[in-house]
Amino acid sequence: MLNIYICEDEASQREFLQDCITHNKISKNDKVNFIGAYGTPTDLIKSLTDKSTNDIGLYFLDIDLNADMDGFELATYIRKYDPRGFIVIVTTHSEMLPLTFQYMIEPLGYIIKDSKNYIENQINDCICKAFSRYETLINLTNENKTITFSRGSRNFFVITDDIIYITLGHLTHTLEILTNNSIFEARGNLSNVYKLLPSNFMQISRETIINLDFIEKVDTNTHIVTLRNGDSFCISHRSFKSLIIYLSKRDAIVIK
Amino acid sequence: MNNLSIEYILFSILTNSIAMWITMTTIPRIKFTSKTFITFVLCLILCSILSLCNIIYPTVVILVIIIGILSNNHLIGMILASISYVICVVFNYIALAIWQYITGVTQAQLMSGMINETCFYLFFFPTLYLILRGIRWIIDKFPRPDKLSYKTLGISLLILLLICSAILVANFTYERTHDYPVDLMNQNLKLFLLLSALMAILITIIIIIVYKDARTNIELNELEHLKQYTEEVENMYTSLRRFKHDYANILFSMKHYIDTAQYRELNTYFDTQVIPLVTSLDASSPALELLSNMKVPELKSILYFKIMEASKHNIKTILEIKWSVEHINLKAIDLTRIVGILLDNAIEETDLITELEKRTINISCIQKEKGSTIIISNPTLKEHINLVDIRKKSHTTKGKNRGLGLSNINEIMKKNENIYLSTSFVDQVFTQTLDIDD
Repeated sequence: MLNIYICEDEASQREFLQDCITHNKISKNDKVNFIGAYGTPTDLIKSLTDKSTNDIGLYFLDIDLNADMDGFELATYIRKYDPRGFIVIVTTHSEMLPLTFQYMIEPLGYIIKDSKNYIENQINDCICKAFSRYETLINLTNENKTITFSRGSRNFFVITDDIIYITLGHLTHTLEILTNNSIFEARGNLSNVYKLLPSNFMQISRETIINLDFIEKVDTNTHIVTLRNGDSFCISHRSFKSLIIYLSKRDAIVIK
Repeated sequence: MNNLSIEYILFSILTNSIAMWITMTTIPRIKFTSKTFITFVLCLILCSILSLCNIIYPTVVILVIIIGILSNNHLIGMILASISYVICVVFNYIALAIWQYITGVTQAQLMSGMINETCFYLFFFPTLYLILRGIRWIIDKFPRPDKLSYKTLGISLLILLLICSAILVANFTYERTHDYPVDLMNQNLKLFLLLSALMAILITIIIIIVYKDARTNIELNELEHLKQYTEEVENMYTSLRRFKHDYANILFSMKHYIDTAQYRELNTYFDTQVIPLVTSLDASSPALELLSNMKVPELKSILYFKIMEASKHNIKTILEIKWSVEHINLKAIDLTRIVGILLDNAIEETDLITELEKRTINISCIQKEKGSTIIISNPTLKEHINLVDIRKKSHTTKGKNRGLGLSNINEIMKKNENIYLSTSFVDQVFTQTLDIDD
């Protein structure tokens, strides 16, 4: 279920948000469940009860809540409770801190308080985006295609199909992960991570795991594999055989 | 000296060049490429020929000149090489004295037997290396002087070099005329101990001067930044006061419309007067507003400086510091360098964009429970960026400085195990996230 929550301290705005959400077409889908609109963060936290693995929340949070907890702290709390949840930040233009929000709570989107029409459009966009992501995410989770890396208090939630390769980082016990659009380091051990990855990954040497879907070509003389982003790696002797066996089943890749 | 065998001369050249090599690679940190290696070997051959002809002092001069030519900064290279040689000789004598104390073998006896001498050098080289590494470590501890202080340093070192050379020449002439008597070693030791004491005093003085110079410069810079910052704050205050005034006026006008029930006029008034004011207020909200939350002075200073530089390039900066940042677990020099490089790159990249509304750099500083984070994001014209290449040392997209900057970051990252740099590129926005753990 995609559960929708609202937290907004001002009654008139809260009602307006609720109206917009409940009138949205997607909200009438039986996979979407409107839980409630709350005036204080504590009320919202109380309503967060046990959820099943197929439950993902969509939270509309006002930043300035006039309570002991602001929207920001509330979002951080929700992130811990529902790591995959979609958080939408409702704020004024001057309170907007895009980079900070992105880093700390990775929101799905923002709703900037402006004319009613504009707010309604933004809400509809967010619900639409959340619902389509919800559906893909549920499928991916069921197929085991997501993985979470962590470093200190920071978590990196990654869809495995986006990973190009994983290699050892610049420190011991760290890994460097390259995805379609980012590169970052996280704590971890290559063989442990390998166990969590789906079958389209292969550990080709002691240092590297590659996503087989990103192979551009394999040189059988030098045992070097080149990936589509241009990087190349040496393949250890043992993995080379199994790689060739795997690749011979898929004729799309050039083997030289 | 005249009756020395060729083997002995070759042996002493070999040992001397090894010692010189150790000294040169540790103190001035000359990097040896194949080109330098060949030059060094050629230079050694030249030296051996000269030595065979019984001319020793010029070999040192030639070595020094060649090293000077090979290094980036010729003058400083030469000075450092000469100093290296002097240090090398000094340590040789000290080591000889220690050796004599431990084994009872004097220099004269050393010279008579090759095995004795080999033993001595096996003891001498590691000691020399360790001591020099220690000296280098002490040098690295001090802040890197800028160009102005380099001049002071250079001149002081030149004077020092002249004194040292004079003593060296005197020493060599003395040796030559006396044909190495046994008591010469003690004589030499005294001379060189004096020399090293003199050097130590001079170097200390120089370091103090350089350090003070650097400090004064930093303080002057900070004062200048503070002055500009105060002016900016005053400007902000003035505009705020103006707004307060406008605000009161607007409320009175609205009250008038409400009292007289002119709702249509109120509507027009609101749309034409109030809304533009709010928008302009947002637009003019300067980046500096939140800079007061930055409590780390060196970071505040570099942020201020770079924001001003960006505005000179007509680039808008949005600074997000929601919670006050009290402490960052990184040495001030590394922190300012790394943030400076990242911001320079962001400014350079954004400057290529022509659409005015897109010319914006976002900066965020976040203090967390166990560390802090600095995020810098900028738009680019590029459709695709190879995220791996951008981290490699030689990567340059425009000119030399950029790649060098990133390689400097790599160096700082290697030195500090608590910092991580993540890079992402989404929808033509390039974001660098620097996490610094406590």
